[in-house]
Amino acid sequence: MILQIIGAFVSVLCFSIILEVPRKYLLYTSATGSLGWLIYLVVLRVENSTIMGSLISAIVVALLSNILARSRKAPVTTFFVPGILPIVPGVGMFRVVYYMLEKDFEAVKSYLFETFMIAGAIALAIFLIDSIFLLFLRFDRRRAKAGKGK
Amino acid sequence: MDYQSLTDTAVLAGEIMLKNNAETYRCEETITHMLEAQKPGRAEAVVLTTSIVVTASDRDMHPITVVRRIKNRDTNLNRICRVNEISRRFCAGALTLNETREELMSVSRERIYRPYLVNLCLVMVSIFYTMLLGGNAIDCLNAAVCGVLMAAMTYGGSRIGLRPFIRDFCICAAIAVCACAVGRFLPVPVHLDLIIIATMMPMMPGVAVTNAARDTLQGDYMSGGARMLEAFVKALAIALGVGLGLGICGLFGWEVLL
Repeated sequence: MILQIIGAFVSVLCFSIILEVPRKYLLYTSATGSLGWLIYLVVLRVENSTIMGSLISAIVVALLSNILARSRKAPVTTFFVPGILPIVPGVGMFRVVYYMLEKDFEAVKSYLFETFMIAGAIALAIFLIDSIFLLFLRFDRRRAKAGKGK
Repeated sequence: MDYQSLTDTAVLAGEIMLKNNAETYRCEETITHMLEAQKPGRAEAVVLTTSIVVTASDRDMHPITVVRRIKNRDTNLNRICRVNEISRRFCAGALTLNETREELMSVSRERIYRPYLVNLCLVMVSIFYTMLLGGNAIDCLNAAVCGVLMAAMTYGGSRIGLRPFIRDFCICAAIAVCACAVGRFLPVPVHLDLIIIATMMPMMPGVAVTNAARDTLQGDYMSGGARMLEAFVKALAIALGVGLGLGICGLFGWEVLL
């Protein structure tokens, strides 16, 4: 499991370089990515559900990248896109293709469902966390305006 | 106030963002903020995934309209960050219009990592993603071979200007065959599924899914829908490629065991 976390750290680091994340943010993105993967593995062990694991880990990654974006004044995407890499449903997609060739259509159905649910979980996490932060942003702006009025 | 060059500069900022795969609503916001910082009477920006339309007008002048068509896009987060920072400084009044323009021009060609490092990282992602999925040392070795093939094909594909769909399709077919072939020559059985998944990972449409969700959340359904379709098409290219590769292995009589 520790090896897997190290794998996550280095692969997110390399993926960040491919996407040209600025040097000063490289450590943040890799830390976010490996933390996300750690949470996925923990949830998988407790709950034994890949969808639940992806959802919780995507929420954590989205939360972290929003906080980092606020404090570093950089777009949220910079931290989120590399950080989400370990959870992107590549495994599910491969299994769909594999069982399609094996003509095991029951397995195809269940893996197709899983792949879509994981993609949906990532979207849901973005929706949830971004909405919360948008709310904060509006609240901040209103307070700033009220302060100026006085 | 020279509205013509102001509009041109704002559109340039938006164009760089869109070309490097920023969310559409972010481009729209950047352009509008930059225009409104100089207070023309009215400024509107419409950004779709493939085009930008901006109009600025005031009482004593004709409206100025600029249209840009974006043909190809590639993800570069550094440029998005830099444009974001420059537009912030421009809006705060720390940069003049000419300085902003010059900075934007230099950002539009900026690369912070050398090409060999990026190619090396493509190989490293394959190796360490195999490790992430729980593969052993032999799996990583096999993934390294496939990763080298993938990086070489990505480089070659961009040199001869292949369409991304065809390029991803060919690469995925090649890595599936390569993984099987190398796996056959190794003395111990390998986890072929992990190796193929790890190597195809850099092509997965993670950016498209993220942007689709974020654009949809902002109420920009047109761009959100377009991005969703983009994600589907990319996933389809990968799935078809891997399918073809596994099929070829089957023809040769190489067993693909999970």
